[in-house]
Amino acid sequence: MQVPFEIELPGLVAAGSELEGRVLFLEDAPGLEKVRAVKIVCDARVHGSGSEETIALGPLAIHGPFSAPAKVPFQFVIPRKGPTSYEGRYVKITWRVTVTLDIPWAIDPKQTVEFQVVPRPAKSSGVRQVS
Amino acid sequence: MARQASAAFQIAFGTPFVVLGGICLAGAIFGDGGALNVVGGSLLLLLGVGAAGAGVGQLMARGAFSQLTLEPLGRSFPLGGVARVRLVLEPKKPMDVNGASIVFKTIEKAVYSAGTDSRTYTDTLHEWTEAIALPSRLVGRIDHVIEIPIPRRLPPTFAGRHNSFISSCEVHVDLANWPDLDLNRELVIAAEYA
Repeated sequence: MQVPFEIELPGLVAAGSELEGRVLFLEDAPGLEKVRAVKIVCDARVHGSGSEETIALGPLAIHGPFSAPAKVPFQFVIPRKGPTSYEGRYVKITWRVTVTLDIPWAIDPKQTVEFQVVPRPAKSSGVRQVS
Repeated sequence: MARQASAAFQIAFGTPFVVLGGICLAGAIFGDGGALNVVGGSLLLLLGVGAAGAGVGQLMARGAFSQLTLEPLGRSFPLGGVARVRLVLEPKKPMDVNGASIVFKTIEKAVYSAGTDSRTYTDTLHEWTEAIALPSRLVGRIDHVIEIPIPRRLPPTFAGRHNSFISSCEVHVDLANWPDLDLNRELVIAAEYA
């Protein structure tokens, strides 16, 4: 079953702050009324040369019914200690949001969007800067 | 504490080799053992003495101090800022020092394991070394604060089950007429810019 939807996310989020996004149903596609819930998982995928691991936030489940046009907001708090996004030689950290539409008696449509987690700016001043 | 455990491990690792090497050599000398026993015994003995000797050296050097600490002055340090660590040395008797240095290192480590297959990948992302200005003769308590610059580009500390980014500093003190002294501590780098 094809139910078109989009995930709207900011490209960059600081560690320790809120990630706010939305799931958009723009067209009134047949089948949208059958969507029982929108399930959202935010996770950091730690991959590369080592065994893969994930740090998951959520999942969130937002229950329907939905009708187009609809904007389903969601939010996650990114941990203060991160991890932050990184592309190393052996270790890579990729943050992503995966949205799954729960439709009874159908293959659940799924989409994943990546975003970056960066270190937050310090609140306290007076710390010596290093160039 | 970690260093003491490491020294104890070196001694525990080396001692069986010393014993085995000794038995082989004794067998060769007092029994009818051949050249193979002499060569094998000597190699085991050398390996054991080397490993255990390094551990004993560390414990001896530590035993010459009534106080010996390396502690970070903060729970975590921001990227692009400065990490401060305090080095306290208090020898039981005056001691001569040939030199001392500190190394700050950040490593990336990934462990792959599946069944009996296990591989470890390590890469050094950053290494910074600086000499520590200690007096040439240590008398009484020396309390020294060292500043370590942390580049903005480093990944913050992350310790996953298989993957990690670990930062640590190691102080090496070259003591005259004593085994050298090594102290190391892990530093937590926060996901925060200075």
